[in-house]
Parts: sequence; structure tokens; C-alpha cells
Amino acid sequence: MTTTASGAMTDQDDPSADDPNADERAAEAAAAAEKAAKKARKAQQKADRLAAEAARLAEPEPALSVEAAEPAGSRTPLVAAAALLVACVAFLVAAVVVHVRGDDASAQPATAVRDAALIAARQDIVVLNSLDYRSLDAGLHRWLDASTGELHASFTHVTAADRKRITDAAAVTTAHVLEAAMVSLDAADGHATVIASVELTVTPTNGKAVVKRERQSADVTRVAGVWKVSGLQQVGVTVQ
Amino acid sequence: MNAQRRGWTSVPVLVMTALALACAIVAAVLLATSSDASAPADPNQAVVDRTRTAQVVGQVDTDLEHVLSYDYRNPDTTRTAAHQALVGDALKQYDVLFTALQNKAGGQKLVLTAKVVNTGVTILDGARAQLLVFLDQTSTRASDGATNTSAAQIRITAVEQGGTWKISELVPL
Repeated sequence: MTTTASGAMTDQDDPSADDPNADERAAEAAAAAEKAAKKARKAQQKADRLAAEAARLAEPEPALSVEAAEPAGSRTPLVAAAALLVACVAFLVAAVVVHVRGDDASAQPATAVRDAALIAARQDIVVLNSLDYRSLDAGLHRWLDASTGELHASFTHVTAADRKRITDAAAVTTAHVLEAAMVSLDAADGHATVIASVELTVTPTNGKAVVKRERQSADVTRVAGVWKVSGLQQVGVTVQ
Repeated sequence: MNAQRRGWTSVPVLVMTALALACAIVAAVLLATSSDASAPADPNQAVVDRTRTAQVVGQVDTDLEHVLSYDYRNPDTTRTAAHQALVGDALKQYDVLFTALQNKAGGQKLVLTAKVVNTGVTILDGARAQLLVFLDQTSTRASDGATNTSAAQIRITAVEQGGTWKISELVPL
């Protein structure tokens, strides 16, 4: 019993026998806890530092863009407006060039010059081959309008004798251009030669109308943008 | 924000924008009122294309003088020239004319000499051309020595075949 009691007693009443061990363990545990706490604090501090660092690293981004936006915000409109102005001035210059070229007759395509000269020549050849003795003045006026140069000058010297001759003939002459073609063209200087196959109908007051074909050659000259006949000849046969 | 507002509404920016707008408006008005210089090119290059005009005129003049000249002593020269220079309807026309001519030419001892006086080109469009030719044709009858010269006006249609202009139509006016 005693042994058991003593053993029991030993277990119960003498805890001091185990005390140094317990103290040691407690101290060890405390030390470990403190170490862990220290580690945790260190980790916390490190985390805090990292967070702060991250925050600091993250922060300059907007701070930088704000800084960059500030001066750009005052310069961009100036640059944009200047670029717009340059573009519009260039557009204006191009438009002026196109406009001036379009108005300049010498810059017209040569085909357009040719067509204008040929159309005018056809009309003028009809006018210059037509005459009604009953309205001689009106006819002569049309001749003057359709002509220029030497031919025009010759119409200004119509004498009384010429008038009498025409009136006495008492005929009405009408003309029709069957075909006209250009032989040569100087678009820049405004000279061209046109040949035409002309059908003339001469109707005397007393008598039958006579129809005849004539080969004619006309020199046409551009005067103030208008083509007029400066010379008109009948192309006769050359007897060989 | 304040700086930006100042940027877009600053005096230089407003002035430049207004100037740019004015330039654009003036340019648009100029373009709208300018005559149309950008019209498509005319395919008819008659007279304008000097080289090709001279080529077709030279060829047609020479051919016509050969084809419309005739010597009763040597009729085949004309026939050969015709078959080289004429194509299509012009050749058919010529064959009819030549037969008729030969029938009476032999007895009259007829000599025809054609001389081109003037040639104008109305159309020169690619390989097709139209011309107006003034031509004098002198006929001499060796049998009695009578001579007569007539003034002809002919509308010619020519086609370019293998680099050579050939007469495809011949219409006396």
C-alpha cells in the first residue's frame, strides 16, 4: 500500500520533482512563442513595407499621367489648330491652282480647242456664204461679226457700186456645210485651217434655184477667246 | 481642368481654327465654281495627235493618188495599188468602177491623173479615221487629146491594219 500510496503521494504531493522540467518546457514554449511573435511582427512589418512600397510604386502612375497631362492639355489644342490651319491653307492653294487652270483658255485640252475652232468655222462659213439682197445691211453686219483680220477689213470697204451689183443680181444665196475638217491647228497661238465642202443654193428673183458644190478653205483665228474666219478661199482645180 | 479649358479656348487656337475654316470655305467655293478641267480625255485625237494625223494623211493621200490614177497602157498598176490600199466596201466599189473604166478606157486611150489638194482629218480614234479629201482628177484622152480636170470632194474612212492605214470607205460628196 505504502508503495502505492507513496507512489501516489509521489505523483500527487511532490510535483516539485518534475518542476524544473516543466519550467524548462514553459520557458522553451514562451521563447518559441516570443520568437513566433517576433517573426510575425517582422513579417507584418515586411508586409507593411511591401504594401507601402507597392502603394508608392502604384501611386506614381496616376501622378505621372497627371503631370504629363497638365502641360499637354494646354499645348494639344494649339498643335491641332495649327495643323488644321496648315491643311486648310494647302487645300486653298490647291483649289486656287485648279480654279485658275480651269479658267485659263490655254490650259484647255487641245481637243476642246480643236472642237471649238471647227464648230465656229462651220457656222462662220455658212454665214459668209449666205446673202439676201433684200436685207443687205443685215447680211453685211453678220459677215463683219463672223470675220476678223484681212477678211473683216475687206467687208468694211463695201462700195456703193458693190451694193448696186448685189442688189441688181437680186438673188438669195443660202449655204450648207456638207463636211468640214481641220487641216492644221496651233492651239496656243489660236490659228487653224479648216477645209469644207459647201453646198450653195442661189435663188434669183426671176428664175430657178441653182445648187452648186464648192471646195473652200478657211483660215480661222482666235480673237479674245472667239474663233472667227480671217480668210476664205475657194479651192479651185489646178489645171495640169 | 482649368488648364485644358484655357487650351481649347485660347486666342491663338480660336484664331487659327477660324482662319482654317475660312480657308476651307473659300477653297470649296473656288472648286465648286471652277470650270471642269478634269473632263475625260477625248478619244478623238484628230489633228491634236500630230504624228498619227500626219501618218494617216500621208498614207491616204498617196493611196488615193495611186488608186484614182489610171493609164490605159498599164491598167494593172492601178489594180494592184487598189488591192493593196483598199479593204471592205471600198474594194468592192472599186472593182465595179474599174471594170466599167476598163471597158471604155481602152478605146479612148484614157489617162487619169489624181492629185490631192487638201486633206483634213475629222476623226482619229484608235485604229479608225475619217478624212475629207479635196482631189483634182485630170483625164486625158490620148485618142483626141482632150483634157478635163474635175474637182472632187471625198469623205474617206480608213482603218489601221498591221501598222498600215487602209481605205475602207470612199464617199464622193
